Amino acid sequence: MSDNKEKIITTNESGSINYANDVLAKIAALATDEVVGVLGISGGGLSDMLGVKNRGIHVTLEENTAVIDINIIVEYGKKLHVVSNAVQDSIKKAIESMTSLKVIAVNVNVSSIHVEKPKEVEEEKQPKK
Amino acid sequence: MKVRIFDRIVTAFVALLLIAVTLFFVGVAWNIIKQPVIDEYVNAIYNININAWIMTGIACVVLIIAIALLFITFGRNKKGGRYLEINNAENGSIRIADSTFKDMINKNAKMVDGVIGSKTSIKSIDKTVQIFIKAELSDDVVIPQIGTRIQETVKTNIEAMCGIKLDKINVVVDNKKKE
Repeated sequence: MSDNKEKIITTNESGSINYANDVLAKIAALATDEVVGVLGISGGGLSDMLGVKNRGIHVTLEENTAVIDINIIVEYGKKLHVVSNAVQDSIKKAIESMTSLKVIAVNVNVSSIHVEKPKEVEEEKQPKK
Repeated sequence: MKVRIFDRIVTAFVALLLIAVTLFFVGVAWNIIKQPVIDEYVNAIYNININAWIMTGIACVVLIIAIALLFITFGRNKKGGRYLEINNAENGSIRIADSTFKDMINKNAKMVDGVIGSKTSIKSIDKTVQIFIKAELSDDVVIPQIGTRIQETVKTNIEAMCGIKLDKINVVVDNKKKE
């Protein structure tokens, strides 16, 4: 998924702050899951099947900035550009509020569309594949 | 969805193959599978009464399938044409997978009365994206009317759901007469 597990992002008088790429991927993943209309993050058939987490999200880190590439699965019937915009905003807000990084761009790929079967409405969110 | 089922089949096949191979080796190691039995099988293979050419032919077919699989595995992540760009703003770009886009168009085309089947191809001509829908229609329909309806349905729904403007929707009617 990425070459360096960690990269020195911020240095100040007290030292440096490193973020592992997986951390940012996870923040992005959680931010994306909250968006209405996103059924999941797709890593490609085999990764999904083997349950590899955080495939489908690619994080590029430079000094103080981040670019996120993400593949999503959207619910059929939802406006793709609206959902994608919401994903872009959600990821940008999450990463910028939880870290000191500035998100330059969030590139969203809609990799597929699934029909969401109507389920009983329960309080807790169901884990979606 | 299609990709996942295919992945499952291939992975299951490889897994079963590995299980068979390991069981075989364990059997040989503990002499459960005795050598004379193996010799018998090897002899049987050599004595199969099929023309050498036919065996080579069958082997070639399997070989081609295997090589194709290799190509698919390693070639699948190439960019070039797999994604269609919907939007490119300063906060990032939004793209949709080619196959998904075509699926959506086909779904919409089939919603029109009288359309039995639909296949879409996307061509980039002079920086504009043009859609070619090959529609299979039922026998007694008025072709220009259906063509227009397909264009309208696809244009309205896709523009709404994807947020892009479709320049040209070309409908090709393929009316296969079923005996």
